[in-house]
Amino acid sequence: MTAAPKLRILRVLRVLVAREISLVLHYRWWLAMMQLSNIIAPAISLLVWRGAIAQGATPPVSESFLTTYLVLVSLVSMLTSSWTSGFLAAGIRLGELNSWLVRPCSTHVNGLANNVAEKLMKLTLLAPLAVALGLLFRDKVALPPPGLRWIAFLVALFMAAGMTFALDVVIGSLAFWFEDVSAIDRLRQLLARTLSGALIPLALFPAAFSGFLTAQPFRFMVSFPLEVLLGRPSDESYLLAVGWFTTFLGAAVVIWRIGLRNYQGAGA
Amino acid sequence: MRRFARLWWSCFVQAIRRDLQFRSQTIITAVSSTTELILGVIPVLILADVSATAVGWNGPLTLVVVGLYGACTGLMDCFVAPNVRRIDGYVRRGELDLILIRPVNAQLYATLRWMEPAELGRVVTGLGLAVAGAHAAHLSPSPGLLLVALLWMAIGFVGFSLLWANLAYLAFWVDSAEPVNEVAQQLREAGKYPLAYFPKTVQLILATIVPAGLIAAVPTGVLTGSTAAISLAILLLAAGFTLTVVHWRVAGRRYSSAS
Repeated sequence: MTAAPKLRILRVLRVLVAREISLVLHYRWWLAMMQLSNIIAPAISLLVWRGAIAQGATPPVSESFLTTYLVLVSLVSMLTSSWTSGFLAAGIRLGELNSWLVRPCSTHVNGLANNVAEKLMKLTLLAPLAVALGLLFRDKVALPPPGLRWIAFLVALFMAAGMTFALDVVIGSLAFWFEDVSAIDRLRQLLARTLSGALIPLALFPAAFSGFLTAQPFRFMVSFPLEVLLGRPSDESYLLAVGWFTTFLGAAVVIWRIGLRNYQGAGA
Repeated sequence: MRRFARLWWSCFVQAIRRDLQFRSQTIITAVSSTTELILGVIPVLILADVSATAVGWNGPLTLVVVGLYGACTGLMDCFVAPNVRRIDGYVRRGELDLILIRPVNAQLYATLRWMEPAELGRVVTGLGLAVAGAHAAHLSPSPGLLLVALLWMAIGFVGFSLLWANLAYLAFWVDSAEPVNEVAQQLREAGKYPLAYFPKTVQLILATIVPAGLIAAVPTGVLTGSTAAISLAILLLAAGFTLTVVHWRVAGRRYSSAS
């Protein structure tokens, strides 16, 4: 692709993001309550783990790591989340995809714009809540100083968001073959909730599972960016992150293209 | 009241027929609900494993808490959640009109009309976990203790349902209050941990304003021989019930109907 079409897609994306932001602004209460619900689960984890430590429990990670992780995890979970599969599946099932297929840009630009716009708005609401939680437990929150680690964190965060979005496109694309993909999506969410480290750090799991937990893809959707920021992941972990990112992106492209060949469009 | 009981039974039979009509959806809901409970056990068991000696709640006892929590929330998701989740839609789209014109108590009808029997699968799994946990913890409570624990569970069930209903009534006050159901569901998650893990102030909140602690933690405590002031809990429940009725009436005045 030459520079001109790339710039055009970016312009389209910018316009769509602006449109989505103006739309999302109509649902301020909806967004605010959603962010409140996002912070409750890590806050509960934080309370029970700090309570256990205060009573003499000795988890396999430091109290400082645990506290900082649980303060930041809601932000990372939100920034790496994706919710496009349901809309994509509905578009395929109802034939609404037609209107995007005839346009001179990717079908997924719309989903991407919605994702970016909502996250920008959610960030403005969730960040103060995370800061408040951090202030409550400030004695044990330890962030690294600005530098290379933060840059690596941002790269890992971007890759995690890309992986989640790609997986969402894969699940949504299954609607080319299946009538209802909501069950697969629910199963994905259940697995991701436990295996991504969104509830508790994966390091707290029994050592017997560490090999599996280190290699499985959901780790790289939430836990890995935080490990990059707060710990020292191994070189193999970075390679695995790149490997899973490429695999998910490739799978999304391949499945989407094969699926499009099966697409008939409603009423066609 | 007898008329309402007949109506409720008809709704329940209709819900079962609906579930039987959409069998695959029902099976998926039941499996997902049970999987959710089983996966939800993991963080709690990890916590118990790390802190059993320090806090005094070992794995089997914690399993009883999670099991009772699963059973009670399964009942809640079958009989209460499908209704409170609809309140926002009733208000926003004016569908409350169709409830207000019926010759029944509108609040009671709006709270108990819809049911999802597939969620009852979690009740069975939860009770199974609780029995397994109790057996492993060598708990053999007397029938009297079991009754008191059941009473506490009922108080927790009704208390948390009242809180959820009040949160859902926010739909009368603000636009797009739908995610308030997520807030309620996340708050409820606190109920699957023994109260001993929380700081004292949070324990108080979980036993009164946000009674998630009464769903399973207090009943399990009762089974192990702890005592709790049940008369005070019933008093608070009555106050919560009155507040909910008043809230519905005041909020209802803001309802502008579909027109």
